Amino acid sequence: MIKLVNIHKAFGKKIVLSGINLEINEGEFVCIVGNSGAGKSTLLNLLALFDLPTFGEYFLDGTNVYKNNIDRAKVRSSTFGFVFQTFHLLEELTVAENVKIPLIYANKNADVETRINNMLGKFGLDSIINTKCKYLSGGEKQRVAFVRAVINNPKYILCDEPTGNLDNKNSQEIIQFLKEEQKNGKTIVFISHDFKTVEELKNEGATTYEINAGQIKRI
Amino acid sequence: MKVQLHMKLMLVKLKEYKNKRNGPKITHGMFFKHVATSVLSNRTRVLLTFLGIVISSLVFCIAVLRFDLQYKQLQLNYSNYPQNVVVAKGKLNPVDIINFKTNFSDINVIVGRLDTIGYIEENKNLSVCPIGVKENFLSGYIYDFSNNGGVYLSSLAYGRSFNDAEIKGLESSAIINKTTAKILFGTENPLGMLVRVDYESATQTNAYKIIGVIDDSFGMQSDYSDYINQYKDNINIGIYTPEQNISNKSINYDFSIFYTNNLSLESIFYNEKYIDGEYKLFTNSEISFFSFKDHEKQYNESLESFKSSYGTFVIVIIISEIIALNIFMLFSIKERIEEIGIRKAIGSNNFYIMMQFMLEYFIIGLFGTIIGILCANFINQVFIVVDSIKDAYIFVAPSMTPNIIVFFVSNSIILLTSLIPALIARKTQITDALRFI
Repeated sequence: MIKLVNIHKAFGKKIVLSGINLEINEGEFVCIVGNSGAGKSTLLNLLALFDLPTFGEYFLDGTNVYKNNIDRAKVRSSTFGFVFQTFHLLEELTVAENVKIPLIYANKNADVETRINNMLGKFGLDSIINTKCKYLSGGEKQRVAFVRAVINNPKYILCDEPTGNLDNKNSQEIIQFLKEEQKNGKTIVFISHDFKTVEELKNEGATTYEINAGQIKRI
Repeated sequence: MKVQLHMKLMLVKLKEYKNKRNGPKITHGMFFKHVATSVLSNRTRVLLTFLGIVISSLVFCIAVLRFDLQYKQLQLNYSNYPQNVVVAKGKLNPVDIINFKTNFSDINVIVGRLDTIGYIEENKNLSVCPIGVKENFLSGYIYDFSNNGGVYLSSLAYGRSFNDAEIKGLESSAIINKTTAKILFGTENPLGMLVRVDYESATQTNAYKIIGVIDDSFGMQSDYSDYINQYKDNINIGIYTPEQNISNKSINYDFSIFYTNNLSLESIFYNEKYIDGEYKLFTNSEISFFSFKDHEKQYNESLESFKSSYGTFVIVIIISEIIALNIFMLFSIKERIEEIGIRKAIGSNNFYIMMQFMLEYFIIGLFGTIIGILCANFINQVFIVVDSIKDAYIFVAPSMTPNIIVFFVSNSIILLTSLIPALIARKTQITDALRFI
């Protein structure tokens, strides 16, 4: 479970997040929606341990992250999986190499090739396994990014506008993948500026929040 | 007991701290393989870095190879010096030489060959022109180190060099070359035979005993025949036999080498041709005795000067290499800032971010240095051939040491240089790198 208590984040004099209190339970599909500049990505950066808050507390599975000074890199490699709007793949590496990186950093070296092949096959990417990512379409890139996010079997999948650069078909496909992962017990945090998509997800049972001017409220 | 407990507690805490700091432990083989793949994946960037390293190690290696060769050549040149020599600035009269020999009994070898004098005349700035004797060799001449320096060596075919007594003028002896030996005696090996020079009287007992025969020197014939031919005509050398039967034979200077321990042959030759003519008498201030200590001092000074000038050059090259590589690597880091963010986001800790960059540069540097060194050796061989065409013979063989030095220094520089961009990469914040905000 993720619990944020009274999180504040300021950049200089600009307060981006102000008193965020949020609980994300295991197996939950959480959507956070908001307009540009509302603080969505800043919140995700804090959730993903990419950044530290100005003050506030973060409990990950009951452990106070900041007070216990846990190894953030270790948590990122083993507990979290990330899907970004702009994919953030290493363009010069092949699909297989990109997917392999989290396994290297998490030191999961048993049956690496089989694992990668199986996962890529599952997401229909087996035909482009040795293609450099720079030659892929947007939809393919996001699928590769998705496989990279889940290859380590993380507990939480954090998505920052994962459908932002995709057409409707590919967007639905990614959302479908996320739902399947939720069914497998994963916790999904889905951040988007698209109120319509979030509304649809809400109707399908997702917990939804709106973030506005640095404050969050359940919708 | 308490201390032990405290120590145990500290060890446990240290272990916990290290575990926290280190993050996930990575299987090294898998990581190295990944780094190698990463290197091979971006060919343009790698090729540019590779070329930069090849060029810098090539220039560095050539500088060190040339330094090594010329340093050794300099050592060789000096090692062939006689122990004590006379230094003369200006035109040199052989009579002065003889006088000096009389006045300074500890002068072992005297400057004064025709070729050397000619050279002094042409190069008034030249300070040292020795000719003399060394074990198993008669050394020829040496001139300006930086341009056409060289020592012509003639190895002894028969007999020996002058001994101490002969050098001190107590006994008269001579060393001749094979051609002269054949002309005078009809054999290459006339050791023990006596010769005298012309217009010494038949009753004069100061004959020269042949103590050694040297191979015909390539340098003497080709380089000085023109100069010698202007004055030579023929010179008569008589074979002195116990029966006093004197037979004069003419020998051509082009093909003769006749060293005596007191240079009387040459002094007679000069006396006859040039005394009171072109050459002036030297005053004491114009000719100085150049002792072995002076020679050693000059040798050390030359080496030091050579080392410092070449050392400066090499340091400039090294600094240029460091600056160029650093600039290139910093640009490379800027270009790869997103990659750093991605790697950190998906689980790399700071140590492995550093290692990623340092290993990449190490791999490229390893191959780049090897190629640079190979190219430098090839170019160095070309230089040696060009030098030999210009008569600037290098008598020492290139060694492996400069290559080994360049290999280790270059790779150390690359590793050290890569440390700065690696540290920058390490410090890069994920949020900045991925431009979330």
